[in-house]
Amino acid sequence: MNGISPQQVQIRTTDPRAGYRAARRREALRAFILAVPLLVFLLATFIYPIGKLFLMSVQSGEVVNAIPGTATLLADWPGPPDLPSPQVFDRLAADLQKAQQDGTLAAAARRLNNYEPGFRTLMLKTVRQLPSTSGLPYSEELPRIDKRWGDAETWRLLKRAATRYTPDFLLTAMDREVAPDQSIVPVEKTQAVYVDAFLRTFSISGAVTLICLILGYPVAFLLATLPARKSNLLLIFVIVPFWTSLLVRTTAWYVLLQPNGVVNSLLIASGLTTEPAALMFNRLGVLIGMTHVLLPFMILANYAVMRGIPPVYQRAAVSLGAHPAVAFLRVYVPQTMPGIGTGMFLVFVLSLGYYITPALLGGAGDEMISQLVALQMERQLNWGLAGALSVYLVIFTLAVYAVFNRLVGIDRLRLG
Amino acid sequence: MLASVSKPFVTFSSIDKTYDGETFVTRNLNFAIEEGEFLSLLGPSGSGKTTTLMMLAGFEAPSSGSILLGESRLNEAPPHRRNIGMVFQNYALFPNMTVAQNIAFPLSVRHVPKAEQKGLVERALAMIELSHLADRRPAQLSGGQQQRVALARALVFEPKLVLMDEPLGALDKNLRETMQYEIKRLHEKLGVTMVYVTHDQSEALTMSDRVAVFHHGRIQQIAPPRDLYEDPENAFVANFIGENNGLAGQVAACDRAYATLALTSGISIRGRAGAGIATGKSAVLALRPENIAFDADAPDHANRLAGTIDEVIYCGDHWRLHLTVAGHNGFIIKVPNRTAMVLPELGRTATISWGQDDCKIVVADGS
Repeated sequence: MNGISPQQVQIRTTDPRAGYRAARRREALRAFILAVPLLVFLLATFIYPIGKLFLMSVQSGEVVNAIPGTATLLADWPGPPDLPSPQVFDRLAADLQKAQQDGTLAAAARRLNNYEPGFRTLMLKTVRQLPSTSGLPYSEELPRIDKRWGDAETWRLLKRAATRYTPDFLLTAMDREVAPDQSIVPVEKTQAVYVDAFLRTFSISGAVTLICLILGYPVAFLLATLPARKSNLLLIFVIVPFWTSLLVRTTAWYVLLQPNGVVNSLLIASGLTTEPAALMFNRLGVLIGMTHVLLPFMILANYAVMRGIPPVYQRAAVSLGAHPAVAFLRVYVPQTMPGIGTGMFLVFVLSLGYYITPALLGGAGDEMISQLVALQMERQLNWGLAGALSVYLVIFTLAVYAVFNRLVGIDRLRLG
Repeated sequence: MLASVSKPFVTFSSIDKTYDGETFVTRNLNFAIEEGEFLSLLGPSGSGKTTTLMMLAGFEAPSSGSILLGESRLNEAPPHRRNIGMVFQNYALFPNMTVAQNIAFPLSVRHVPKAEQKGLVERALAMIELSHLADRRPAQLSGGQQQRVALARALVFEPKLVLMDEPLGALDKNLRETMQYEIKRLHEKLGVTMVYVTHDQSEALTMSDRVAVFHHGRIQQIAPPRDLYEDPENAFVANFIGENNGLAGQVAACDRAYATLALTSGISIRGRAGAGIATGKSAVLALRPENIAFDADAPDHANRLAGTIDEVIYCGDHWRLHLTVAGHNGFIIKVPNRTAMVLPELGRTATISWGQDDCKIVVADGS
């Protein structure tokens, strides 16, 4: 027809892929729209709080907010051995009184106490005594109120605290601090708790993972090789605890493992022991409780993989001359590696963040890192340190994930 | 092909297999496998052929009777000590190993030195013409390639006996025929004894030196393919192998070589007498559709019947006719397609005939 120019015809025929791309875009948009509610939910309840906590691990606004003028002046102070200029003393005196009126002093004092126990008292004492000054310049008045103001170290800590962003939480979480000479040094032995806590968390998680593997692998094998009716029945025994609340199960162990609990009664009645055995408030209790809670993950992960391995491989290996045990180790076990990997990964990663079970069944020496995070948030109100500990926990978890992904492949992770 | 003076290599004697003491999966099996022969176990599913193979492999234990390998009793030997190569239906290549590692597996569990293993594996790979795929994983191979690897793995440790459990069942038709030829070639080249389970009769006929036909846990007949097809011993074999016009009747007369079968309608047929045929017994006709002359003037044919054409199917090289003969429908004739022939028409009455040597009177089932 005359109405269609050659150019229009050209447009229709040049790129057949354009239509395909448009269809793909429409599909992608549709998928996105379907996922929007979940994305919003995740953003609000998961990603935002985590991001906020991470930010807290480097934020330290309390002191700057309370004494902004002093903070600015201290930024220009080179630090010890000299004291800051008298101007800084004046500014601090004014800032402190203002902060008390504004109500920002308490938070700042608490934050300073993280650096040096007693700093909070120093601040409050200073503010209390400032109105009754003797008329001396503040560079003499403050050291008179408390001689610590005459020590350059006090001012150094104040300067460190009076910055909006600080690496100190992240350092503390690794039992490190900045020394007067600006170098990063380990904290005193008596204050070093977090590295040990991380190591303890790893060793408990590792032990739980191994126990789960040793106990769970044979059960998964049994489930995968029994006739369907029997294995379904047995599977219920695995799954029902899996559905039961973690707290309920932990509390049940609390009852069972008590010095005068069921297990000890049985042990004494059977004559195996005369005294109640210490089964809880120690590492044993933590391992028993956590293994029980996490065992279904190991069993189900292995069962899912084993169920897909036909018995013909074992037969083939035996027919080719392998002793059944050799056939099992060389042919069957390698095929279950994805299950072993998945189970170990799940149990280990879940163990890393465990809180309730070690808190209820553990003793003084069994705190895991998430208990310390909770402690910092609930008791010490040191959200910065809690954030810093969480950052490390996330980093270590991601590292485990990376190793798992490298060895097994996350796409092979499946349950049931 | 089968040497007449070969000695028994494997002997099954009075083998019963039952799981509950009442129903028998196999019943009173007695047969011998000759050294170097290709024996197929053929039968419908549930006939006991796979169980027989598994008893030979050692994965099932006979309930009674004994299996001999040469002179020695094999019953109690665990499967991994039997030194029998085996190929499974779905190949059972180990997915965690490469092709070369799979083939090396039987050598490495026998502690063959590494250097020797390498040479043997290379030779096995060359034999199946897959040397270039040595480092692939089984999942990366096609069905036919996997089958060949499974074959190489079962042969590499040079077993005297190789068992195959429907090894070509998962392949499509063309590939299956290629592989049949390949297995046959390897058998002839290596001189190894092969026992081959299949439910595909044409596969059994084309590949085997002898075929054992299984039904209800018993061997109905064990014979070379040609004897099986042309000289079936009973009605089951006649009907199971190829197509048969199995008209049933009573034996009216019987001399040494020939018998007369009276069909129920009063028509009688003369044919070769099978084993166990005696006057008065009920028997079945074994008559192949291609041995019947259609509308032919063949005065030497002892049997001459009239039939009505019910169905005509054109098959290219032949016509396939379904007739009603002696009151029974489903009588099959295969007529070679010639340019000059009179076309069979539906509903017409035709004369069909065959000689007394073209058919056989055999005992009915369950004798």
